[in-house]
Amino acid sequence: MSSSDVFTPSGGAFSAPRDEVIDSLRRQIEAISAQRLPHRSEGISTGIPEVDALLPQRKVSRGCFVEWVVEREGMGAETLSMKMAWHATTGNRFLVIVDSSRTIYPPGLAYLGVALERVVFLHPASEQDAFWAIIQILRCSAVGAVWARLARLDTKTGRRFQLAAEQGQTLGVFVRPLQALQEISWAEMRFLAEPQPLHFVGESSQRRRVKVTVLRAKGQWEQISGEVEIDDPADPLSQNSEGPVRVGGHRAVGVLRA
Amino acid sequence: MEHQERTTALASLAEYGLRYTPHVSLAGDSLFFDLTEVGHLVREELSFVLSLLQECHARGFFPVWIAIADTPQAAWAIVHLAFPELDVPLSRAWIVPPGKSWQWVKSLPVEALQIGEEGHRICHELGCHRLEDVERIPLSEWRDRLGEEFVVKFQQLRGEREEILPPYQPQPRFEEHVWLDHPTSVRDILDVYLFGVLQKLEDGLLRENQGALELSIELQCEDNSQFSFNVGFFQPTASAARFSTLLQLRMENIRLSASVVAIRAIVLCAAPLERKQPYLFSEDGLPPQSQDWEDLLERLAARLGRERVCRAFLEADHAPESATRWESCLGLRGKRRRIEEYSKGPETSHPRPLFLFNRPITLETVAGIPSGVPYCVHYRGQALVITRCWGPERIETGWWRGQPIARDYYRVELDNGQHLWIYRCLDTGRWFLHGVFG
Repeated sequence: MSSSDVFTPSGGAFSAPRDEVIDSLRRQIEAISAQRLPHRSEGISTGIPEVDALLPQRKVSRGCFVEWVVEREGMGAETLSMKMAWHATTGNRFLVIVDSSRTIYPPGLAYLGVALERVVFLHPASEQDAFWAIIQILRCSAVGAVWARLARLDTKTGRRFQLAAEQGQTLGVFVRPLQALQEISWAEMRFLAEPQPLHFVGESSQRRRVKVTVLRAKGQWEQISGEVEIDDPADPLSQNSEGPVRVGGHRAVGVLRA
Repeated sequence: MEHQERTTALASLAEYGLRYTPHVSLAGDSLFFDLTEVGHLVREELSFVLSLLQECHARGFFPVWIAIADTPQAAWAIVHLAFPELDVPLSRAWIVPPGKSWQWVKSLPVEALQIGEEGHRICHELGCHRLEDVERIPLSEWRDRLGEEFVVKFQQLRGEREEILPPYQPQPRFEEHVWLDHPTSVRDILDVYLFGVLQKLEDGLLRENQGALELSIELQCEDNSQFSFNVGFFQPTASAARFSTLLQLRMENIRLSASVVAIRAIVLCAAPLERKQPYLFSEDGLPPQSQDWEDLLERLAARLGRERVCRAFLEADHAPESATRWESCLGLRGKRRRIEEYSKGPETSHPRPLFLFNRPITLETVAGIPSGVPYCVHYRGQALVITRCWGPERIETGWWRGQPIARDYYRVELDNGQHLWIYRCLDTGRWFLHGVFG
C-alpha cells in the first residue's frame, strides 16, 4: 500500500480527489474480505439457482445462520427458506423444524419435496425454550439445518446462534418479520422476499413470482435483487408436472441490480 | 390361581421370556413373544415351545395354549378361537409353518379381529362370518364403514402391516431413595443429594450389567406435594453423570412449592448394557444414528418434554386435520420404520399449505353470488381482494368418527401477494381460513 493511496485527515500533501480515495479504500477492503470469504469448494448451494446467482460466492456457508425477511406469512419466504434449509441436509443430515405454534403442516412439506423421514419437529412451550433448543441444534454436526420463524431475536441470542452454528457447521434458516430490519443482526445473509404479480400464465397455473433481494452477504456492497418463480408441480407448463407432488422448480426472469 | 397371584406369575413368566427375546408384551391373559430376529436364541421352534410349556407348568399355569405364527394377531386368533368347543384341561401348541398363517386362520370367525362387539356385529350383518369373507368386500369400503382401525387390524393379521406391541415393562428393580438431613429447596444442595442417589443407581445397574432406558425422579416436599419427571435414553445408560446432565435440563423448568424432604430415583425401563439399539430410522439408505444425534434428541426431550420432540407420519386420511400422526422421537427407539410409513398420505394432486391452523378461522367474505367464491375477505382486520383462485377441492369424509366434514377448499391469492387455503363448509355455507401457503 503506497502512501499516495492513503487519505490523511489533515488533508496534507496527499489531498487526492475524495472519490478516488473512497474507491481505493473500497478496493482494499474488498481485497481483505475476499481473503476471508469461503472458498468456492466450501459452502453449499441454496438449492435455488436464481438465489445462488445473486450471492457473491454463489453459495452460502455452513456454520452460520441466514434470515428471510417478509412482510407477512404466505408471501413465498417460508417456501423459499424451507427449500434452502432442506437443501442443506444433503449428505444425509437432518432437518429440524422448531415450531412453537404447531402450525407447520407435514403434508405441505411433503408437497414441497421434503422427505419426512429426515425431519424432526420441535414444539417448544416458550420462546426461551425455543432459543435454547436452536442453540443445541446448531451445535450438532449431524444436523444439516434448523428452520424456525422468529418474531424476535435479540443481539445476544443472535450471537449465540452464530457461535453455535460455527461450532456445529450447521445452517440456521430463520424467517423474520419486516421489523427485524430495524435490528442489529448476526446473520451471515439477509434476504427480503416480496411477492410480485404474475400476469402471463394460464388461469390454472398456481405459480408465484417472488422478488428476492439480498440485503446482506459477505463480500457484497450493494443490494442485489432477482426474481424467482415458485412452480406449481401440477402446472402443465412446469417441467415437473408428472402428477401429484414433488419439488417445484425455479426459474429466473431476470437479475436486477438495485 | 387368585387374580393377584396370577398377575404376578404372568409377570414373572414375561421376565422369563426376556431371555429369549427382548420383545415381550403382556395383554390381558395373553403373553406375546416376538421371535423375529432372535434365531440365535431360539434355534428350533418346537424346542422353544416345549421349554415354554414346561416352564409354564412349573409356575402353576395349566392348561396353556401356545401358538407360533407369522403375526401376533394370527397367533392370538389361533389360541383363542381355533378350538372353541374344547373344554378339556390339556395344554396345546400350534406351530404354523412360515408363510401359511393366513391359510390357517382364514376360516376362523371374524371375532379373530379384535375390533369390538359393534364391529363384529356389523361384519355379521354384512354376511361376513369368517375372516375369508372379509376379503369379498374391498378394503376401501370397510374403511368407510368401520374406519381405518379395521383395515389396520386386518392387514396386521395378514402380515401386510407391521404391528407394534407395547413392550412389557417389568416392575422396577432399580430404585434408590434418600431422605435429606434438612428440608431444602436450594438447587445446589438438591443437586448433591440427587447425584448421590444416581451414583447408587449406577452401581446397582452396573452390578447387573443393565442400563436405564427410562428414568423417573420423584421429589417429595414438606407440604406433601410431589414432583416427578422422567427422562429417556436411546441407549441403555448406566452413568450417573449422564443421568445428572439430562435431569438438570429437566429440573430447570420445575418450580418447587416447598422444600424437598426426600428424593427417589426409579429405573422404569432397563435393558442389558451390551445390547445395541437398532437404527432409529429404516436401513433403506437412511443415516444410522450417530452419537451426536442421539445425544441431541435426548437433551431436547429432557428439557422440552418427550412429546415435544416428534416425527411426523402421513396418514391415509382425506381430512386435513387427520392427515398427520405425531410420534415422540424417543418412543421410536428400537423400532424400525420403513420409508413408506412416512408417506402414506392419500393420493392427491391438489397442493397442500405449509401451515395449517389448529382451528379454522371464520372469515367474513364478500361474494358476488351466494354460492360463489368470494372476491373479498376480511382477514386480521383488513379487507383483502382475491385476485386469483383455484378450486374447489371437495373433501367429504369422517362420518364414522361422528364428526363428518363436507368442505370445498380453495387456494386463493390476495392482492397483497399472500396465498391462503380457505374452504366453504357445505353444511352452513360459511367460509373459513384453514391454512397458509408459505
